[in-house]
Amino acid sequence: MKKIQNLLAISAFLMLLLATACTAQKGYRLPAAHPELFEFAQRREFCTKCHGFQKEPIDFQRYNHTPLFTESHRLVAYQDDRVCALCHSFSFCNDCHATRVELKPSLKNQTENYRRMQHRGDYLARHRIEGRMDPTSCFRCHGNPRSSQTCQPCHG
Amino acid sequence: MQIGPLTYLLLMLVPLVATPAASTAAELQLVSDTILRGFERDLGRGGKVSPVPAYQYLQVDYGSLTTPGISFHGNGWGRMNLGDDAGDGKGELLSAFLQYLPPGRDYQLRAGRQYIFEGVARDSLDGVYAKGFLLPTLSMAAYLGSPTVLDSEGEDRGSDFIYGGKITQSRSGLYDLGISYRHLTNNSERDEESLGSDLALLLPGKVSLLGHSAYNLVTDGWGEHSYELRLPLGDFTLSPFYQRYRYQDFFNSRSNSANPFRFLQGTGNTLTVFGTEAFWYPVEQAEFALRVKNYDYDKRFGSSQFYTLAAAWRWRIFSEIGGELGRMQGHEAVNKYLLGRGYCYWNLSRGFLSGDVMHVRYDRAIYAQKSSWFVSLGGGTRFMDDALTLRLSFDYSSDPYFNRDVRALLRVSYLLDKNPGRSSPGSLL
Repeated sequence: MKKIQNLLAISAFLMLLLATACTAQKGYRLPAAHPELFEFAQRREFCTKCHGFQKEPIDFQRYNHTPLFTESHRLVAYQDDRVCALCHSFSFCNDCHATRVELKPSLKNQTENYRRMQHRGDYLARHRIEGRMDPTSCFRCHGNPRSSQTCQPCHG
Repeated sequence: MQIGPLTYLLLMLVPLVATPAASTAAELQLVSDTILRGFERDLGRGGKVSPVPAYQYLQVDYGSLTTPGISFHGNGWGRMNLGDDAGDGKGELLSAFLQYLPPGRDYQLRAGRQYIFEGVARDSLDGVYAKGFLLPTLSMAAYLGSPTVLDSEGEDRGSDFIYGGKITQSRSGLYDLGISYRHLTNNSERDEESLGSDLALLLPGKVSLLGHSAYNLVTDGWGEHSYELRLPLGDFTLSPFYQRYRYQDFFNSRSNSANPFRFLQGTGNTLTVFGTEAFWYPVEQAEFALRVKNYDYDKRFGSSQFYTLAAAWRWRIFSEIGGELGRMQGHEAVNKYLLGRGYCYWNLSRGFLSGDVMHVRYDRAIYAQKSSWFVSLGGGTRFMDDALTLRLSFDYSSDPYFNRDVRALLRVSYLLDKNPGRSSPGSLL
């Protein structure tokens, strides 16, 4: 019964989407890449510096790389990863979002300390506490057999 | 004969290079990172080992990279040990796929090993992915393939399967609403099936709301709700957030999961996190950030808080000095620490210098140590119009796990950037 209710809800939602879409204007298409700028994307960028707070065609303020952006960009990325790909190569994201990377991101990019990358310093000791407080943040990167190989020697 | 990940990456590139149409105005970006580490480890009985792991990371992007067309993207890494325990080599092909984007950019196709970000899907797979804008404001994405992460060494993947997709309805300047679905089969068993929603709602006064929810169809329950407001107030920005995780529905205890998450799935706990991030930009060179987080649990722990205050001052475009103070205020002493960090990155005409100091005080000792120090000093220089960069850093660590540990890291980065319409090297990032 619950499954039927779920299917009905999804169908109704899709119909609503379709109806709205049919009456809408032609949508915006993202370019393949951001136009080249001097020393672009080699530091934390604030999109609003050039684009202002305009909300169309995309909400640029959403993508401002604040000092805490490394830890809190996931909701933005969930919306549309093509916006990330305008400036970042696929392998840039693979420093963290990957099957398995042996070097922790802050170690691979040791001298780029301004990026405030995860697990800097003695994280092996701190993770005992942060893992107890919020294991969901560990799970996103270390939640499967292949990416959890660094956890297995202690956690089994 | 077993093919290594980096060899496989280069082999994938051959068909594209051999295609005349793709080769005429093709762009090529190749990034090579060679990393050499040096450190020493006590074996506990008076003996010592000195591993010298050497890593090679390779990223190749070829084809139409800045314009619509066909392109190849790949990256991977390999490691061999030049010091003690020399037989222990490893490697991984992280991605290797072809992508096609038509001139009107109305759809996107990918085939090969790739990472998928589509709502509830954040997966690495060998397969195909398509995204299309079939109606003016409606986009649809679908993927299908074999997940790469279910077995620790990648064996027995014949009966592993993943598929799913996302439908997104967008009204520019108003909202984006996406509904996603993901199904994962491991060893012919339905291990994960989930539905998710992603919302971005633009409100009056430049205020926006971002959110994500995930429903676990296997356990029939909401695993996650994460919502956040963005409130720009002149030089200030405030971002209050709310997150709720039900461990029973967020984690899973099947063979495609790992410990300690399998155990956590059975604890029946629910974690509620709320708090805010606040940013202040008084002048262009300065920024201050504050994060306050409150953790509430149904079981096991009492309320806990985490506070972070960070500040940075920038000069000469890339040069930056900053600091951070953090406090984890757990319900018990075992979950409390105080963290302080200072760093500096000084960009020079032909190179840079960097320094980092971090000190942590634990309220309850870990392995009889109540504090830790981490110091990193580095420097680098650039050659060949910035195509070649050398970075060298030395780290010192004294903490519960490592007593007076000294490590060295040398990184040699080479960027080959051939873009017919571009004069300067592109972004390494």
